[in-house]
Formats: sequence, C-alpha cells, structure tokens
Amino acid sequence: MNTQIQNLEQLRAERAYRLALDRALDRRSDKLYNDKTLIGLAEQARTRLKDTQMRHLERLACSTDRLADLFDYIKGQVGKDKEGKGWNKGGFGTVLLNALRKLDGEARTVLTAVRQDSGHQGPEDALRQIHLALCREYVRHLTAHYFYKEAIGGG
Amino acid sequence: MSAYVFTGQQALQLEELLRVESYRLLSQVEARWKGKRGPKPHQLHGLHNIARTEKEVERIIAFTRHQSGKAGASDPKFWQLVGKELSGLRQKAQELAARLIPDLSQDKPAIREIHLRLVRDYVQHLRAELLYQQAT
Repeated sequence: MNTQIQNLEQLRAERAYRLALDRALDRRSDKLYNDKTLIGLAEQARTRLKDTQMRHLERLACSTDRLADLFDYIKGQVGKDKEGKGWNKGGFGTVLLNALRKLDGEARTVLTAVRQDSGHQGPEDALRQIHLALCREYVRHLTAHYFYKEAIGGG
Repeated sequence: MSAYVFTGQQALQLEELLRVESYRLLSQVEARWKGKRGPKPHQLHGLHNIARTEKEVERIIAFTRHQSGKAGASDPKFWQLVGKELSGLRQKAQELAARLIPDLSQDKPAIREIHLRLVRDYVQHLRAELLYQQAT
C-alpha cells in the first residue's frame, strides 16, 4: 500500500515537473522569437545559406537527441566553407554556434525555476535536455525569420 | 570477434548514457585540441571514415599508429595523441558498462562495444572541431 502511494506521489511529481517545464519553455521560446541576435542571424543567413541548407539545419535540430550533433554539424559546415562565402562568411557560423552555446545559461535558469515550481528534480541530465530544447526553438525561429524575410522580399 | 548486441531496456539505457556522454566528450575534445589545427582535411575525413566503418576499436587505434609511423608524416605527434585519447576511452566504457548492470563490467564484449561507440563519437567531435579551427 505504501509503495503504491509512493509511486503515485512520484508520478504526480513527475507530471508537475513536466507541466512546469513545458510552460517555462513556452515562455522562453516567445522571448527568443524577438531576440536581436537571432533576427540579425536570419538576415545574414539569407545572403549566406541556401533554402535547403536552412531546412537541413532545422531538420537536424528537431530530430537529433544530441546537442553535440548539432554543434558538430555547424562546425563541419563552417569548416567546409573554405572560400568564406557561406557558413563562414563574416563569422556567421561562429556567431550561431556561440548563440546556441549561450543558451546553456538560459537552460540553468529554466531548470532552477522548474525545480522550484514543481518540487521535483527532474531527470539526471535535465540541463542538457533543456539546453537542447532551447536550441531547437532557436533554430525554428531562425528558420521562420529566414523564410519570412525571403517571402516578403526584405533587404 | 563478434559484436555484443544490447537489447531491450539495456539498449535504451545505453543510448541515454551515450547521449549524455556525447556532450561531455565534445567539451573534452574542445579543451584538448584548442588552438591545434591537426592534419589536412582529407586525413580527418579518412579517420572519420575508418571510425565509422571499423567494428573493432583496435583497428581504429592501429590506423592512428600507422599514420604516425608513415615516412614523411607531417604531424606524427597528432596521431600519437589521438591514439592515446581513443585508448583512454576504454576506462569510460567500463564505467558506463558498470552503470548498466554491475556484472557487465566484467563482460569484455560489452565493454568493447561501448568503447567503439565512444571512439566513434570522439572522432566525430574531433573532425568537426579541427575543420572548424582550420577555417576560422
């Protein structure tokens, strides 16, 4: 009986954590949407990347479970651009990489708040998971701004 | 040597551990190779291909020894260092194996399989990092 009650409590705590996390990520995502660096990157991307490259970045960010895969991909793309006409033009790839890395700080803030709200610690690698989720949101917004600008013919 | 195949819950747990470890390895690679340019891109691609396709860690490490021993090798120390780093990942493989099931730490094929996965990850990070440093 006690075990059943403990299991129920555990489930409730995990659910509370999940709900608090979803809310926190939604709020952060909305803030990221208007991030100046992100909007600037989207503008730069229009003169550096093809549509397919943008889509590929978005697909990778949304499908991978590994932050490292996303960072390796961007580094690899910068590395391939010897002429500096694409990913490496004006340090575009480096700025994007640094922006994604910096989301680590945001992830810590989110995790602290979520733990406080829910009273649950979350999984062992909660920080990495939140960082990855924020990177996904960042890349999604970047892609959206990129294609929007393209469609309205801005710049 | 036949590969160890993780199944069911063990396989899921292993993937989870490797996901976490991948990010830690990335930081390790960045710190270890900071400011170093490494060999030419085609040699990095070669190492990556070997790591991706070989089923035995020993063959991957043997490749690095072969590269370092080549007459006219431009950077033998690079290959020696890489070989050492890859060998060193065995310790981490044993730790991860022990986290899956305590008895597993004695299971050499399982440890070899995890070591191989870690080596592949490390080489992926290394190639990306060095290509990036060479370009920026």
